[in-house]
Amino acid sequence: MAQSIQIAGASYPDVPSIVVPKVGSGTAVFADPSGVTAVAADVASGKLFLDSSGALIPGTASGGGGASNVVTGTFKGTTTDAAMDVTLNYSGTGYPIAVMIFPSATDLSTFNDLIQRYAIRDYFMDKEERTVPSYSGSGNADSGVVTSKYKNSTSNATSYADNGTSSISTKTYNDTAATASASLSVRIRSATKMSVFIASTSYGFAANIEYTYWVIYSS
Amino acid sequence: MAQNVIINGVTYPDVPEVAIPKSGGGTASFYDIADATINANSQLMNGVTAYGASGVKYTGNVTVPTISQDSTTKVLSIS
Repeated sequence: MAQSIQIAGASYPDVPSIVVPKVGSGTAVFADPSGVTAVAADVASGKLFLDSSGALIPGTASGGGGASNVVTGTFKGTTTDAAMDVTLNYSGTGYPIAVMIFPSATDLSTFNDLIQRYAIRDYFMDKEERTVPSYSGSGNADSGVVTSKYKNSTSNATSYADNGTSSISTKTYNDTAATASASLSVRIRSATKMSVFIASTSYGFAANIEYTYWVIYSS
Repeated sequence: MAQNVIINGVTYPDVPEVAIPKSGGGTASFYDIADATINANSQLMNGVTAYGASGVKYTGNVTVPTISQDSTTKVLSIS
Protein backbone atom coordinates (compact mmCIF):
# COMPACT_ATOMS: atom_id res chain seq x y z
CA MET A 1 0.00 0.00 0.00
CA ALA A 2 1.08 3.56 -0.44
CA GLN A 3 -0.21 6.89 0.71
CA SER A 4 -0.33 10.30 -0.86
CA ILE A 5 1.05 12.59 1.79
CA GLN A 6 2.01 16.18 2.35
CA ILE A 7 5.22 17.31 3.98
CA ALA A 8 6.01 20.97 4.40
CA GLY A 9 3.38 21.91 1.88
CA ALA A 10 4.62 19.58 -0.80
CA SER A 11 2.58 16.61 -1.97
CA TYR A 12 4.13 13.20 -2.42
CA PRO A 13 1.89 10.67 -4.10
CA ASP A 14 2.00 6.93 -3.57
CA VAL A 15 4.51 6.78 -0.77
CA PRO A 16 4.87 3.19 0.51
CA SER A 17 7.46 4.03 3.15
CA ILE A 18 9.48 6.86 4.55
CA VAL A 19 13.10 6.90 5.57
CA VAL A 20 14.11 9.01 8.52
CA PRO A 21 17.63 9.67 9.84
CA LYS A 22 18.40 7.88 13.06
CA VAL A 23 20.16 9.38 15.99
CA GLY A 24 23.79 8.49 15.64
CA SER A 25 23.84 7.22 12.10
CA GLY A 26 21.86 5.30 9.58
CA THR A 27 18.23 5.54 8.68
CA ALA A 28 15.00 4.05 9.91
CA VAL A 29 12.37 2.76 7.53
CA PHE A 30 8.75 3.36 8.40
CA ALA A 31 6.31 1.55 6.15
CA ASP A 32 2.62 1.93 5.51
CA PRO A 33 1.20 -1.48 6.44
CA SER A 34 -2.41 -0.72 5.56
CA GLY A 35 -2.15 -2.86 2.45
CA VAL A 36 -0.65 -5.84 4.20
CA THR A 37 -2.94 -8.81 3.70
CA ALA A 38 -1.05 -11.44 5.66
CA VAL A 39 -2.37 -12.62 8.98
CA ALA A 40 -0.54 -14.81 11.45
CA ALA A 41 -1.82 -18.00 9.86
CA ASP A 42 -0.37 -16.93 6.51
CA VAL A 43 3.17 -16.40 7.74
CA ALA A 44 5.73 -19.06 8.47
CA SER A 45 6.02 -19.97 12.10
CA GLY A 46 8.80 -18.07 13.79
CA LYS A 47 8.77 -15.16 11.37
CA LEU A 48 7.71 -11.70 12.47
CA PHE A 49 5.70 -9.31 10.39
CA LEU A 50 3.60 -6.20 10.68
CA ASP A 51 -0.05 -6.79 10.13
CA SER A 52 -2.26 -4.22 8.50
CA SER A 53 -2.70 -2.38 11.79
CA GLY A 54 1.03 -1.99 12.27
CA ALA A 55 1.29 -4.55 15.03
CA LEU A 56 4.35 -6.77 15.01
CA ILE A 57 3.15 -10.33 15.39
CA PRO A 58 4.66 -13.78 14.83
CA GLY A 59 3.59 -16.08 12.05
CA THR A 60 1.96 -19.36 12.92
CA ALA A 61 1.79 -21.18 9.61
CA SER A 62 3.32 -24.58 9.21
CA GLY A 63 2.98 -26.95 6.36
CA GLY A 64 2.08 -25.97 2.86
CA GLY A 65 4.38 -26.31 -0.09
CA GLY A 66 6.28 -23.92 -2.23
CA ALA A 67 4.55 -22.76 -5.34
CA SER A 68 7.37 -24.18 -7.42
CA ASN A 69 6.93 -27.59 -5.89
CA VAL A 70 4.70 -30.11 -7.56
CA VAL A 71 3.61 -33.27 -5.89
CA THR A 72 1.56 -35.78 -7.79
CA GLY A 73 0.77 -39.35 -7.10
CA THR A 74 -1.75 -41.81 -5.93
CA PHE A 75 -2.40 -43.69 -2.82
CA LYS A 76 -4.19 -46.95 -3.13
CA GLY A 77 -5.35 -49.55 -0.76
CA THR A 78 -8.41 -51.21 0.60
CA THR A 79 -9.53 -51.89 4.07
CA THR A 80 -8.62 -55.53 3.73
CA ASP A 81 -5.17 -55.14 2.23
CA ALA A 82 -2.25 -56.23 4.30
CA ALA A 83 -0.43 -53.11 3.29
CA MET A 84 -0.80 -50.03 1.20
CA ASP A 85 1.45 -48.84 -1.56
CA VAL A 86 2.06 -45.23 -2.19
CA THR A 87 4.09 -43.74 -4.97
CA LEU A 88 4.73 -40.07 -5.26
CA ASN A 89 6.61 -38.11 -7.83
CA TYR A 90 7.95 -34.77 -6.93
CA SER A 91 9.53 -32.01 -8.92
CA GLY A 92 10.74 -28.76 -7.60
CA THR A 93 13.01 -27.51 -4.92
CA GLY A 94 12.80 -27.03 -1.24
CA TYR A 95 11.36 -29.33 1.33
CA PRO A 96 8.70 -31.19 -0.49
CA ILE A 97 7.12 -33.93 1.39
CA ALA A 98 6.16 -35.16 4.73
CA VAL A 99 3.95 -38.13 5.21
CA MET A 100 1.47 -39.07 7.81
CA ILE A 101 -1.03 -41.83 8.15
CA PHE A 102 -3.83 -41.25 10.54
CA PRO A 103 -5.98 -44.32 10.91
CA SER A 104 -8.93 -42.55 12.41
CA ALA A 105 -8.25 -38.92 11.95
CA THR A 106 -11.35 -36.92 11.37
CA ASP A 107 -9.77 -33.75 10.14
CA LEU A 108 -6.79 -33.25 7.89
CA SER A 109 -5.69 -30.39 10.04
CA THR A 110 -5.92 -32.32 13.28
CA PHE A 111 -2.97 -34.45 14.16
CA ASN A 112 -3.86 -35.42 17.67
CA ASP A 113 -7.01 -37.41 17.46
CA LEU A 114 -5.59 -40.80 16.71
CA ILE A 115 -7.30 -43.56 18.55
CA GLN A 116 -5.79 -46.42 16.60
CA ARG A 117 -2.44 -48.05 16.66
CA TYR A 118 -0.35 -47.64 13.63
CA ALA A 119 2.67 -49.06 11.98
CA ILE A 120 5.25 -47.56 9.78
CA ARG A 121 6.45 -50.11 7.39
CA ASP A 122 9.07 -48.29 5.45
CA TYR A 123 9.83 -45.37 3.33
CA PHE A 124 12.68 -44.56 1.05
CA MET A 125 13.75 -42.13 -1.59
CA ASP A 126 15.89 -42.37 -4.68
CA LYS A 127 17.70 -39.18 -3.91
CA GLU A 128 17.37 -38.58 -0.33
CA GLU A 129 18.55 -36.06 2.08
CA ARG A 130 16.38 -36.59 5.00
CA THR A 131 15.88 -34.23 7.77
CA VAL A 132 15.06 -35.60 11.14
CA PRO A 133 11.68 -37.24 11.08
CA SER A 134 9.86 -36.66 14.27
CA TYR A 135 7.44 -38.73 16.16
CA SER A 136 5.51 -38.01 19.24
CA GLY A 137 2.73 -39.75 20.93
CA SER A 138 1.26 -40.95 24.14
CA GLY A 139 0.18 -44.34 25.30
CA ASN A 140 2.62 -45.81 22.83
CA ALA A 141 5.66 -47.89 23.49
CA ASP A 142 7.80 -45.53 21.46
CA SER A 143 8.31 -41.84 21.60
CA GLY A 144 10.86 -39.27 20.69
CA VAL A 145 12.68 -38.73 17.45
CA VAL A 146 13.24 -41.18 14.65
CA THR A 147 16.11 -40.33 12.37
CA SER A 148 15.97 -41.83 8.91
CA LYS A 149 15.15 -45.20 10.30
CA TYR A 150 12.30 -47.54 10.44
CA LYS A 151 11.05 -49.97 12.93
CA ASN A 152 11.95 -53.47 11.95
CA SER A 153 10.45 -55.77 14.45
CA THR A 154 7.44 -57.91 13.74
CA SER A 155 5.95 -57.17 17.08
CA ASN A 156 6.44 -54.81 19.92
CA ALA A 157 9.49 -53.18 18.43
CA THR A 158 11.40 -51.04 20.82
CA SER A 159 14.33 -50.09 18.63
CA TYR A 160 15.00 -48.95 15.12
CA ALA A 161 17.17 -50.35 12.40
CA ASP A 162 18.83 -48.02 9.97
CA ASN A 163 17.48 -48.33 6.48
CA GLY A 164 20.32 -47.07 4.38
CA THR A 165 19.26 -48.59 1.10
CA SER A 166 17.14 -47.24 -1.67
CA SER A 167 14.83 -50.14 -1.89
CA ILE A 168 11.68 -51.06 -0.18
CA SER A 169 12.17 -53.09 2.89
CA THR A 170 9.74 -55.81 3.63
CA LYS A 171 10.30 -55.61 7.30
CA THR A 172 7.35 -54.62 9.30
CA TYR A 173 6.56 -53.08 12.54
CA ASN A 174 3.65 -53.98 14.69
CA ASP A 175 2.87 -51.78 17.55
CA THR A 176 0.59 -53.57 19.91
CA ALA A 177 0.67 -50.94 22.57
CA ALA A 178 -2.48 -49.00 23.08
CA THR A 179 -2.28 -45.53 21.69
CA ALA A 180 -4.60 -42.81 22.78
CA SER A 181 -3.06 -40.13 20.67
CA ALA A 182 -0.05 -39.90 18.47
CA SER A 183 1.33 -38.07 15.54
CA LEU A 184 4.04 -38.80 13.09
CA SER A 185 5.86 -36.39 10.90
CA VAL A 186 8.53 -37.14 8.37
CA ARG A 187 10.17 -34.35 6.48
CA ILE A 188 12.26 -35.10 3.44
CA ARG A 189 14.42 -32.68 1.54
CA SER A 190 14.86 -32.07 -2.14
CA ALA A 191 13.40 -35.25 -3.41
CA THR A 192 13.10 -35.92 -7.10
CA LYS A 193 11.21 -39.09 -6.51
CA MET A 194 9.88 -40.72 -3.50
CA SER A 195 8.06 -43.89 -2.72
CA VAL A 196 6.35 -44.45 0.52
CA PHE A 197 5.04 -47.59 2.04
CA ILE A 198 3.07 -47.00 5.12
CA ALA A 199 0.41 -49.02 6.76
CA SER A 200 -1.74 -48.61 9.76
CA THR A 201 -3.50 -51.30 11.66
CA SER A 202 -5.99 -51.71 14.39
CA TYR A 203 -4.91 -55.12 15.71
CA GLY A 204 -1.46 -55.71 14.47
CA PHE A 205 0.03 -55.55 11.08
CA ALA A 206 -1.69 -58.57 9.61
CA ALA A 207 -5.10 -57.34 10.55
CA ASN A 208 -7.31 -55.19 8.48
CA ILE A 209 -5.84 -51.90 7.63
CA GLU A 210 -7.73 -48.84 8.48
CA TYR A 211 -6.80 -45.52 7.12
CA THR A 212 -8.46 -42.28 6.55
CA TYR A 213 -6.14 -39.60 5.33
CA TRP A 214 -2.86 -38.88 3.85
CA VAL A 215 -1.35 -35.57 4.78
CA ILE A 216 1.43 -34.05 2.80
CA TYR A 217 3.07 -30.81 3.56
CA SER A 218 6.30 -29.05 3.14
CA SER A 219 7.94 -26.14 4.79
CA MET B 1 9.97 -1.65 17.38
CA ALA B 2 10.89 1.99 17.82
CA GLN B 3 13.64 4.21 16.53
CA ASN B 4 15.47 7.25 17.74
CA VAL B 5 15.15 9.62 14.83
CA ILE B 6 16.05 13.18 13.92
CA ILE B 7 13.62 15.39 12.03
CA ASN B 8 14.53 18.97 11.27
CA GLY B 9 17.34 18.74 13.74
CA VAL B 10 15.11 17.64 16.58
CA THR B 11 15.68 14.28 18.21
CA TYR B 12 12.71 12.05 18.86
CA PRO B 13 13.46 8.94 20.92
CA ASP B 14 11.63 5.66 20.70
CA VAL B 15 9.45 6.46 17.73
CA PRO B 16 7.38 3.44 16.71
CA GLU B 17 5.19 5.22 14.22
CA VAL B 18 5.15 8.35 12.09
CA ALA B 19 1.88 10.01 11.15
CA ILE B 20 1.92 12.31 8.15
CA PRO B 21 -0.94 14.37 6.71
CA LYS B 22 -2.48 12.86 3.63
CA SER B 23 -3.15 14.90 0.54
CA GLY B 24 -6.87 14.42 0.77
CA GLY B 25 -7.23 14.83 4.50
CA GLY B 26 -6.54 12.62 7.43
CA THR B 27 -3.21 11.11 8.26
CA ALA B 28 -1.18 8.20 7.03
CA SER B 29 0.63 6.07 9.58
CA PHE B 30 4.02 4.59 8.81
CA TYR B 31 5.42 2.00 11.19
CA ASP B 32 8.92 1.00 12.09
CA ILE B 33 9.48 -2.40 10.50
CA ALA B 34 13.00 -3.07 11.70
CA ASP B 35 11.91 -6.07 13.73
CA ALA B 36 10.14 -7.84 10.90
CA THR B 37 11.97 -11.06 10.04
CA ILE B 38 10.21 -11.99 6.84
CA ASN B 39 12.74 -12.17 4.05
CA ALA B 40 11.29 -14.42 1.36
CA ASN B 41 8.09 -14.98 -0.56
CA SER B 42 8.22 -18.58 0.53
CA GLN B 43 7.47 -17.55 4.09
CA LEU B 44 3.99 -16.38 3.18
CA MET B 45 0.95 -18.17 1.95
CA ASN B 46 0.18 -17.65 -1.68
CA GLY B 47 -1.13 -14.21 -2.54
CA VAL B 48 -0.78 -12.44 0.77
CA THR B 49 1.65 -9.58 1.33
CA ALA B 50 3.83 -8.30 4.11
CA TYR B 51 6.94 -6.18 4.56
CA GLY B 52 10.42 -7.28 5.42
CA ALA B 53 12.66 -5.27 7.71
CA SER B 54 14.22 -3.32 4.87
CA GLY B 55 10.87 -2.22 3.53
CA VAL B 56 10.74 -4.82 0.81
CA LYS B 57 7.23 -5.99 0.18
CA TYR B 58 6.88 -9.74 -0.17
CA THR B 59 4.07 -11.59 -1.86
CA GLY B 60 3.62 -15.13 -0.67
CA ASN B 61 3.91 -18.14 -2.95
CA VAL B 62 3.32 -21.03 -0.59
CA THR B 63 0.55 -23.36 -1.59
CA VAL B 64 -0.96 -26.40 0.03
CA PRO B 65 -1.42 -29.59 -1.94
CA THR B 66 -4.94 -30.62 -2.68
CA ILE B 67 -5.75 -34.09 -1.44
CA SER B 68 -8.78 -36.10 -2.32
CA GLN B 69 -9.76 -39.69 -1.88
CA ASP B 70 -12.25 -41.77 -3.78
CA SER B 71 -14.53 -43.31 -1.24
CA THR B 72 -15.02 -46.46 -3.30
CA THR B 73 -11.62 -47.21 -4.76
CA LYS B 74 -9.71 -45.71 -1.86
CA VAL B 75 -7.40 -44.06 -4.31
CA LEU B 76 -6.06 -40.93 -2.84
CA SER B 77 -4.79 -38.30 -5.21
CA ILE B 78 -2.49 -35.46 -4.46
CA SER B 79 -2.00 -32.49 -6.69
